[in-house]
Amino acid sequence: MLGFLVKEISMKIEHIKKNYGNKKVLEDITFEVENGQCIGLLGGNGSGKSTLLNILSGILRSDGGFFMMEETDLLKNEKIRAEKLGYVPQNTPLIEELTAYDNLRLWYSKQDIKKELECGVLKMLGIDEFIKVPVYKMSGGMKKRLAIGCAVSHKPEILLLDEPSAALDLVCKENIGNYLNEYKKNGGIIILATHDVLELPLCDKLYILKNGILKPYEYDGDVHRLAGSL
Amino acid sequence: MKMYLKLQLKKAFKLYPAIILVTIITLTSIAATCVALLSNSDGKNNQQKITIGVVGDADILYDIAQSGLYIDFVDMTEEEAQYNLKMRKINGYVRIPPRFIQGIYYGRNNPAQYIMLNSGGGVGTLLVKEIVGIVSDMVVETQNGIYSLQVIEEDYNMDEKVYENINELNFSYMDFTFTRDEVFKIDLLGVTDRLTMGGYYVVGILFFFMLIWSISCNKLLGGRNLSLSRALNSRGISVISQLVCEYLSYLAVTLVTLLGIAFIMGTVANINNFGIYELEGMTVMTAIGYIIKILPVIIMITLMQMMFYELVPGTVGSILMQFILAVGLGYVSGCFYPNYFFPQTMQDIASYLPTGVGFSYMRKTMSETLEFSDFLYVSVYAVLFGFITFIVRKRRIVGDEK
Repeated sequence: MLGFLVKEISMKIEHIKKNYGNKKVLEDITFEVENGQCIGLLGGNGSGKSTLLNILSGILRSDGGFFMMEETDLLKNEKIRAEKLGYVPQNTPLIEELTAYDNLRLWYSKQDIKKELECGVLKMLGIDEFIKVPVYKMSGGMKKRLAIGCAVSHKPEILLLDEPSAALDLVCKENIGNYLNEYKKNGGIIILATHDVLELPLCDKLYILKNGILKPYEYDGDVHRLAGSL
Repeated sequence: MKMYLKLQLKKAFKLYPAIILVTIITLTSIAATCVALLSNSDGKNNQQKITIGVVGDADILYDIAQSGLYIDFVDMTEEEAQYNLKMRKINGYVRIPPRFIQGIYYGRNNPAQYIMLNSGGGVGTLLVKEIVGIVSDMVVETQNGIYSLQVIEEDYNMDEKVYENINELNFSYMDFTFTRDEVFKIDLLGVTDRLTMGGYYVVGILFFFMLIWSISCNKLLGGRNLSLSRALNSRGISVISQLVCEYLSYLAVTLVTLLGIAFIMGTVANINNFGIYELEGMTVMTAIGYIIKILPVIIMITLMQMMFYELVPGTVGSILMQFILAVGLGYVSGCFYPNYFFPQTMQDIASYLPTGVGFSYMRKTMSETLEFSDFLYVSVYAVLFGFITFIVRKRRIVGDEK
């Protein structure tokens, strides 16, 4: 249904650092992902999850490190990064005064919208139900689905999501979760910054970011233990 | 980028009716406040007039007052004049000394005195001071001329006709001097940058409108969605490209509005120029031409407004800031009063402010005295504002997560 299949890829994030003045926000962030995997980044507020996603998406410059995809450092190659990466920031990146269709036009051609609404990703996200609704009249769930729809217009191999289901109801969370599972099945890589334990089953590997240091974490369903680790 | 520009324009024109509505409400409120502040408390006359008391032989000034549009001369005693001045019922009073006219006929300098309050700054007061000053100068200088002629005629033994000639000259001179419309015209020309007072205020109101316009465009300029900027950036649409698209959409609605105003101004001026010299012969095309000529100022001001929206992104804060800046900078730069009422230091500062530079550019465009240096100052400010906006946006995009 997604209409694309990601070829065998591997992705390495190596020694990424970021300081704000004397404050070390990220220290030597290193991990590896195979295609079809979802990485969950956990951490308290201000722990640096969004900073890491902003660095990976090219918005923020790192103070060192690499984001390697096969032989290419995506931190240095802007063009390839824009092709390979889809990014959904914490707040929905939409133009409030315009309709869902208008917002999609920023990323899709008219023909692609038609095709995707009939049997593609936009249909799967349920965007066809509110295609003519202005964004300011949409619910949080609609906005989030639309934002994801916009982010995957170019069928990226890597999807960066910053708290995709924050403040959404269960139906919306399930809807988005279904889509992300489908995305994984097609071989896509997801890096997900989250606070939501309901999103954890989607993740193949979990990491906790604390005081700028990234550590692997095994989630056993104990929320109290998890909260204590953050 | 092309699609982002298209969508920004679509957004701008979708908001346009609301922007116009807010503009009308804002301007109506400002106009109502001004009318309330300026309206004459006695309510006898709706027309704004300057009231001048006359103490002494008032006949001379009654002749002047017959053709007056702006000044009412009221005969009163010195005590009444002082009381009315303290109560601010009159703008000042003229004390005419006994045998004033005879003094002029016979060349004796017996000056009238104009008395006003120290705090009586304002266009009206200035006008009166100027009129009295001009009349006084003309009286002294011309009398010198006439009595020099008397000496010459006496030297050449033209005694039998000399007094007749002198009297004839004096009467002609009195007729000429006290046709107040003539004096008035002399006074009004060249308020600043060779504009008449009326022309000055036409430009001033237009400039103030440009300053206040950004408040109505709050929905368009304020509360930018930085997530969208981030998403666009991650897909290779640079911050500068985004800003250009957003700016062009703002510039487009501003230009449409100003061209609309030019159309109305040209149509109205064609029917009635309200006695404003600069509006004589103005058509829709010349009014539109004026807007095109001041395009550098429009670009500079809109960039300045966009910069302030970037610096203060919150809705309430940004509206407040735009309002304070519009009123404050407009006042200092001379939108409401010609700024030569202000202390010299303030005038010097105003001439270097972006609003001062922009207002001067617009005045000089109206009086066709524009120089290349004016264009240069406006351009430098425009580039500076554009650059600051870029830096601030860039910092906001990457800095919000700190």
